[in-house]
Amino acid sequence: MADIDALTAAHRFGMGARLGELDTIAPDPANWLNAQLTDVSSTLEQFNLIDSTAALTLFFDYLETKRQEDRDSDAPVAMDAPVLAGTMGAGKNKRTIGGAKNKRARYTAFFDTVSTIKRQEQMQPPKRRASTPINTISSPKAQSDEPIFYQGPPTSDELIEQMYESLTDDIAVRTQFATTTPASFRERLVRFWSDHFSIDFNKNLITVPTALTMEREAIRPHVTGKFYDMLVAVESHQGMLLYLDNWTSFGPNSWAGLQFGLGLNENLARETLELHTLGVGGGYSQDDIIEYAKAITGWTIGNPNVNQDQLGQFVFDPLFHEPGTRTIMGKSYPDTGITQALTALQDFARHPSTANHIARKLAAHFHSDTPPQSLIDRLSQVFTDTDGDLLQVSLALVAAPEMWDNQFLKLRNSEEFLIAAYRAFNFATLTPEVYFYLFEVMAQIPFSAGSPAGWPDDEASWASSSVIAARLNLAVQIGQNIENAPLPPDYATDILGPILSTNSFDILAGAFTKAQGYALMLMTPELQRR
Amino acid sequence: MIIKTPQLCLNRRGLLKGAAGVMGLSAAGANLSFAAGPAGKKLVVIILRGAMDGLNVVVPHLENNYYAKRPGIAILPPGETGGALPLTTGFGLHPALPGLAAMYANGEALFMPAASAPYNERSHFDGQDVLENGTTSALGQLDGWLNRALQALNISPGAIGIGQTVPLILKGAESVPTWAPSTLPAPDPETVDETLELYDNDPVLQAALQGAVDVGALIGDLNQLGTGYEQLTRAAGKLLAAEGGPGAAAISLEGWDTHANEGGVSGILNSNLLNLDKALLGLSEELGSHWANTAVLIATEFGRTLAENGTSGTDHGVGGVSFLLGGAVQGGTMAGDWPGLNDAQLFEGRDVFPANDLRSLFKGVLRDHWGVDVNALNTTVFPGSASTAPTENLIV
Repeated sequence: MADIDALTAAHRFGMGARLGELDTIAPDPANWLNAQLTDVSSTLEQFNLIDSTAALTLFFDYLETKRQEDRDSDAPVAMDAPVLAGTMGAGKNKRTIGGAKNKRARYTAFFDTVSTIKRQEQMQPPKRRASTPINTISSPKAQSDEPIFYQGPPTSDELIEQMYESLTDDIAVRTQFATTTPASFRERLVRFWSDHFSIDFNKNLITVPTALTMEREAIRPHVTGKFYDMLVAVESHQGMLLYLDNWTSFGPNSWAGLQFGLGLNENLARETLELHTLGVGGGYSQDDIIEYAKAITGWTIGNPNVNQDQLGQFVFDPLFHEPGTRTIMGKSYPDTGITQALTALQDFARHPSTANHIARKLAAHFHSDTPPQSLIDRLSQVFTDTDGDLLQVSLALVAAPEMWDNQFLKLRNSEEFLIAAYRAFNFATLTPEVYFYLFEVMAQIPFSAGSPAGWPDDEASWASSSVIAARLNLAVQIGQNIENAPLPPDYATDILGPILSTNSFDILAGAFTKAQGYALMLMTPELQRR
Repeated sequence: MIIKTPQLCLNRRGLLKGAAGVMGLSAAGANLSFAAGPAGKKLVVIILRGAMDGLNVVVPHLENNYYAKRPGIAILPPGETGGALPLTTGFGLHPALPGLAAMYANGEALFMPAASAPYNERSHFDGQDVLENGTTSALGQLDGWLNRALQALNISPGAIGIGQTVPLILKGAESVPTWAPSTLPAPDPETVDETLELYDNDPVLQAALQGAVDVGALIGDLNQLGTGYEQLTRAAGKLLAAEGGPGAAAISLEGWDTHANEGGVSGILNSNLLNLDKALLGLSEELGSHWANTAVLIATEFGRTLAENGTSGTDHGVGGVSFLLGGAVQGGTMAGDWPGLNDAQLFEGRDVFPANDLRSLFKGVLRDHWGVDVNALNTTVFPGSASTAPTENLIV
């Protein structure tokens, strides 16, 4: 029987044991974890998922298709109403897409596009959009082999379907990968950082295409790299710029600000300081937020009207950028264009409050809701000493003695519970729609936390009656679909090893049916916790 | 080992059709232990998500521009075939709301037209956040005003969120349980009992599951509660009315984003309103004797354009309509100001001007129904809102 350290490695650090996995880990649990940190071969590249630029190009195709359809039908469509343009006295130019010659007209068209986009929120979640019978939807991999037939160019509705298909495919791939990977500690770290920089696809139709690309493009490459590099990759990523509105934040004294009377949007600046780096009470003021918001004006996205040659890409547009030196937390940052804010980000990343904020969150996530101060201090010190080297911080987490003691204090959140269950029973072949549905049943659809603060990470939030009831309902469904597997108490012993209590073992052994036994195994406190 | 994974929920539709799952019908006596609300006063907040078209719900039938801009979907004045149900002079109620009209006639319902949270950017996501967080911006607070109101009381009456997760309006320091109808079949009672035994040494999980069993027992057979909106409001009513039930509930009703096929006396809005009317009558029925001490606030993130669009619908606007009903309400009247619908009176030339700040309505209810301290209302519940006075004369 595997020892307790293997169990700690698989469940507290990783995403749950697969059948027989504890035996693999047992010889050297710490090494099993550390190897995942230095082996960077685990990526999602083989799945050929869409990148942000292509995803946003699809969105802009949709926008143009929709305009064309509206023009053809000659119907007044107020999704397209020139409200923002109207307030700027520029509504007459609303049809000059791309073709406009002068700068002012192009930017006017851009603002018109923005006002259109801001009205295109989807109140219907994707599951309700699905019109295909569920049993005809194949896994994303098989799907890519099938030819797609269109009668002529896709309609705007078909393009919306494509955007949501990309989203559900991406969620399925990410989930299958977590279900099957032997490097499940690395996957936990990916989810930790992804949630630290939480974005939500529901905000608006334009946030759908880049909600999941950000994790692949800005989080995964830096999970064992430098925090500063991850921070820059995230703050300049299309997903974040769209979610927290910075793509349409304008320096009041920039060219665009003066021409059109536009101003700042502080959202990204506020959350960068409050959530991403220093944390609440970390030593910044409202004035610092405004100053930093001015520093990141111009961090935007190439669109069909302006910066067309970088369509769908991150762009620093000097015409949006607030001129002048900025003073943030007492330090001056001269106007050097894009590097003005990059220098500020460097300082935020190195701020002692950031080290402490990150260390506390890591400890609370991996250890318990109330982690020992010694663990926080240890991680914070390594973060500071190594200039935010996340490989060293993660290695320090593995090396911390606090992590190998007092296990199973932390209640799994619903995504973690689902993945632990999938890993235990090798559920790696569900369709994207079914994955999506199950996350919905569990009230935790990835990338829809609804708050830039991410999902709650405490017991009180997840030990609610409705959550536990939903888990039991689902566990019963799963139990009924397991055949020819070891008897429930033996199965549970393989997955949970020595932590399985006598009480749990006896209840599983006394189950009326095997199906009930597997359901109860998933509901044991040992599997609900980690 | 063979694992039939593809069959798990392969027929998701089948699962959805299956017996509606509700926990633990086997449980003996239910056991809720909320503190009683201030003097047993119940407060229900219903959020109509998607932005309900206020102009076709509380119809300003004396406004010529209403009929001029809505040739295909306007509701006719009271007295005409298919016309609105009469309210105060100048206004009528959509004919799909006879139950609500009866409450109004009975002095138990009032309407605030041209109402809006202090937000006019027309985004659902941000608009709902502002409506629920009680500030003037989407990220102004990450918790909700109803939760902060619970904290402002000496003895919190507790609240329940109807839905899978706690809605923003109820997020915050005060712990709030949730209830949602399950789309999965219910487990058999033995499995529930065995699971409870699994938690003999885990009081937190045991309490959570026991809570689900208790709530399930109170709610009983979901199929008896109707479907859709009605199922949710009746469930809330049962929980609020139960011995030891909470003092507040928040319910989300979705499906109000009527860009297409909104229609007039037929169409999506009409069927939504029929369902809403049934849901409100169901809520009142379940509350029983508590109805006399209940206030129900109904709000939506914003209103919709005055003009109908090319697809028999309306688009995102600003000023909307809010309702207040219940036995504790001083109804039979309209609340707030009416800005008019002439072109020059519109907001940005297209929407109902937001003459009435929803925070006034919320503050009036919290002050006069629950006795929440005005200073707390101005500072913690609705931060920086001292200049937005509570609406007077809402509560009996």
